[in-house]
Amino acid sequence: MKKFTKVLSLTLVAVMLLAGCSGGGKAADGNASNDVAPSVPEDKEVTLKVTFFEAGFGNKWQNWLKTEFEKQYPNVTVELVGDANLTETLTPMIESGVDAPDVYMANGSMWEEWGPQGLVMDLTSLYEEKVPGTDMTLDEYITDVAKDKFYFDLGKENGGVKKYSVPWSAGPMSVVYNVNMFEEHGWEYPKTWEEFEALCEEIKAAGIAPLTYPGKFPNYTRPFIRGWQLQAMGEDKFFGEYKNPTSADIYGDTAVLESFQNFKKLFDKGYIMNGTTALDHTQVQMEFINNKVAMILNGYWLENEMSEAWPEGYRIAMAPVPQGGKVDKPVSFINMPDYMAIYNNTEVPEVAKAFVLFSLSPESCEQFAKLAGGLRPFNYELSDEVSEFTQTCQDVITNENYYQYTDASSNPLMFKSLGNAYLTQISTGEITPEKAAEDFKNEAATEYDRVKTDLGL
Amino acid sequence: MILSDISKIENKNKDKKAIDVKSHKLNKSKLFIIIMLAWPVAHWLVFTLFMNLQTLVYSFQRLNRFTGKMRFAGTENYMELFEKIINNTASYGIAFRNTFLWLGLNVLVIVPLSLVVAYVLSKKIPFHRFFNAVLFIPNIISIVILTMVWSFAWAPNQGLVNELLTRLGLEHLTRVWLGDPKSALINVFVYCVWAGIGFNNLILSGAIAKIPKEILESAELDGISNWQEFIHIVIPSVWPTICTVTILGATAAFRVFLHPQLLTNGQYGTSTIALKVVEEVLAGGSYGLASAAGITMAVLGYIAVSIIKKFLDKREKEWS
Repeated sequence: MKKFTKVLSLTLVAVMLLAGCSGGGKAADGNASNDVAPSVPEDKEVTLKVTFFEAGFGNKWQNWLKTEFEKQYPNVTVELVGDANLTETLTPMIESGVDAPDVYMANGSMWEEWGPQGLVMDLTSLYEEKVPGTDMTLDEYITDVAKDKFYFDLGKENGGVKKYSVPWSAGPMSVVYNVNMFEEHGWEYPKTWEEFEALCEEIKAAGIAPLTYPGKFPNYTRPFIRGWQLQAMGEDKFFGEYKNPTSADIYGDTAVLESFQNFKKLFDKGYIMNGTTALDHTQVQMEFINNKVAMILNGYWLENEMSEAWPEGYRIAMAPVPQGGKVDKPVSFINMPDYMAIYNNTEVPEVAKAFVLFSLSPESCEQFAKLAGGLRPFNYELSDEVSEFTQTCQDVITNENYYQYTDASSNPLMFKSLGNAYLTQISTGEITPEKAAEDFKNEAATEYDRVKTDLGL
Repeated sequence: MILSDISKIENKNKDKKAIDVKSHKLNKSKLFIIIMLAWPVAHWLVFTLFMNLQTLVYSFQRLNRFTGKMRFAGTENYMELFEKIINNTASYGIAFRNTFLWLGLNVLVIVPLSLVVAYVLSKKIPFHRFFNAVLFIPNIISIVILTMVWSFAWAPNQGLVNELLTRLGLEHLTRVWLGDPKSALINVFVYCVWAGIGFNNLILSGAIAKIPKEILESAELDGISNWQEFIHIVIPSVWPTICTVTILGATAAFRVFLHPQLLTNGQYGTSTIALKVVEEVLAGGSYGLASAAGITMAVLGYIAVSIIKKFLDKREKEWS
């Protein structure tokens, strides 16, 4: 036992020393060497490995990109790798360099960590390049809403605003309703919260559940929760303090409590379909398709994700969150978890950049909408050839009568949690909204202090 | 004199040759051992020792997201973990409690139940082969499929269970099984029992089959009941195997994350620390906190398993 204790103590001392000494080891300075202009050398054969998250958007668009890029550059072979588990497999690939792609399309925000560490390429100069098929630079082409997420302000001493990735897909997450059902009953999608409640009562009276969401994944309530917070705070406070806090006090704002109370009200008034809390996204989406519920909180990927389940003649539409509080228009929440980035140690940085730039053209975006039902946060216009649902999605995020925003941010000080654990507890009546808001505030305050310490502020 | 010298020299040469042959043989066997051990040792050094040490190192570090550099953080990650467990922040406290409930489930419910099932099936009851096969099926089907089927069966609106209860006039018993904190954890436990018995049953059935028939026959002649046979003959005879499945079950309890993740996404009081580790790494990239949680649970797991092993060894000594 004594021997064991000795060995354990020695190991711990060694580990502590190792932890202390290896502090700065991860950050790499490889960015400068890869600051090349996008181009494709014509004198040699090049293989470009493109790995992508193969889920709701399928792989048709990536295949189109491969065909078109290879047509334009016959000496380039694009090797496509679709991976449904990319969220899990990408981290070891990028961090170890084993089997790492040259370009990847993924969801999540890991680029925020990998950028400063030198694992993904600094694409700041790429934002000055002209986007094919437009007269705009990428900097002008990207929407202002997306800049909140993709412009990463590291502070003056760390190089200022950096861009380590470009948006792959971003679109509305909001209320999707059954158009046929609405027309059949003479219902109209409401403009205000009062009208929304009245509509829910009408739907209930018709013996149909008004609303559902994937209960196992409370993140789907994000458009409502963030919408209520934005409407209660007003845009100045939401963007100036909630998304860019100077103290943690903002997370104790009454708007948080109000959003939790409103969420509880949906259950108390019987607007949420019975059994919702136990169901995953596929299950609730099937209930929606089977006309058991009139509206569902979902995203622009819904139509493509359930492509094999829709009945003949189905019609669905995306609508904004009704108007309320300090914002005088209905609000449109834009979800932007998907991004494209380049592995920093790629052997073909200029070709990888050319491919990323190629994928941004309006024609490519149009194909993304047609082939994958996806949208991108750039200044382009869609033709009428895309599906009715995709058109409503595009309308929700471009219509001037709606207020478009996102809660995505690269500011590490923002407490990004929606409070999923609290939301599930509210939905089942385990805790009150007041207790949830109090716990949320305390959690945010602790996290804020931790992040400040981590950043050396 | 000369003859004796010659014979001495000859003997020496013979000894030398014998030594040479012996050392050659020794070298060969050493080489064989080295070759055979090289891969597993290298594998252990890289995938066990190095990775665990790396986890230990990470548990004392935190990332500066502006500079991309890791900094030495002392015990900050451990303090954050303990604070979250104590305050039940983001259900960490529940996850911690559940990890130990799973330990109890694996050791005190699944192992004894498997033993009973294995014993009953060893009595060659009608359809025993069928039951053995049915019990083992969950081990050969993907857990994703199993949990999906389970979720559909217990679904609140169109699920088999609620439908059955309604048809039996027991509508008041229907509920949102996997979406209610009062029933979700128990339901996940029931799933674990259903899916977990088959493997233990296979191992324990093998051990029971090896009990000498003479012992069982003489006991039968003495007129002992099945209960007495189970307690006084079967359990002591297969005790080493029981120890093995118990230790395997105990260690597995600290790694459980897929069952709650797939059945409830860890909601409604069903999460575990292992699931929290997965979430921290995949969703937040908080390697430091995840590593601290992993190390803490490894230490607690080691203590728990040691205590269980001590108890099992004590019983084994009593019976041997």
